Amino acid sequence: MKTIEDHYKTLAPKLTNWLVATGSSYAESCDLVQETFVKIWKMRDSLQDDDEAVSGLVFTIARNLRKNLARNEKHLVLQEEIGEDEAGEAPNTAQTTNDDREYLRKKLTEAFAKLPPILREAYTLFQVAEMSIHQISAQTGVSENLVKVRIFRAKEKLKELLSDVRKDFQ
Amino acid sequence: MDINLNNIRTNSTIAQNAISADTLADKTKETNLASYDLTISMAEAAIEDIKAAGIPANALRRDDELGKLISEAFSLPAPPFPAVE
Repeated sequence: MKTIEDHYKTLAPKLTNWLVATGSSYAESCDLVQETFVKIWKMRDSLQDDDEAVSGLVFTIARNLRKNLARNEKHLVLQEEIGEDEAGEAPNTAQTTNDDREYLRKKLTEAFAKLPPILREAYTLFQVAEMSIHQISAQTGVSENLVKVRIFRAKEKLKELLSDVRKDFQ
Repeated sequence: MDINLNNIRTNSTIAQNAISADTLADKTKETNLASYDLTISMAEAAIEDIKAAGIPANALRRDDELGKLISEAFSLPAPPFPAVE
């Protein structure tokens, strides 16, 4: 049976990147990932020995933690406006050694935000979180065929939204 | 006053029949609605199948041009494993 650390090695990078891709800052994503795994660690005795089930649980917990955070942050809007010190940006290594990557990430995040939520969810879970169609179907509660259709539509829409960016990076 | 028991019986039977007819109509309606829902969901599933079948085989690859861009952009490191006791 896999340990929590084994699950962490596999899932934490995917979850971090998925949270960033779907609108959280890097700092916030790191906090959410750690908080998620603290919860998973507390549930370790009742976890199923099934990678897909653990993955689904991890993403569900992270999603709920982010919702709670957003709810709490509504009360702290003023504080946020005052303290815009880039604290939520990605680590310095990525910023200073690869501005292109930073720019690309910004453009992609903006494009994801323009997608209808159901398309964004299916596509980012597929591409960024690297979930299988079967896992996304279980996670979102829709049929596998509908997941495929949503991914396909999201891709087509993203190609339009990112036509300039794609030329820059060719 | 003379009471015609036959009339009462007849009226009672008519009332009972009316109630039965209403119940039957409700049941029929429910059955029809359930069957309608089933038909709709089957039709939706069939439409999804058709749409999914129309997706080109290579459209669901992660390593196409767009996929590579995204993988490159979202390769941020995960935070360290949280300190738990």
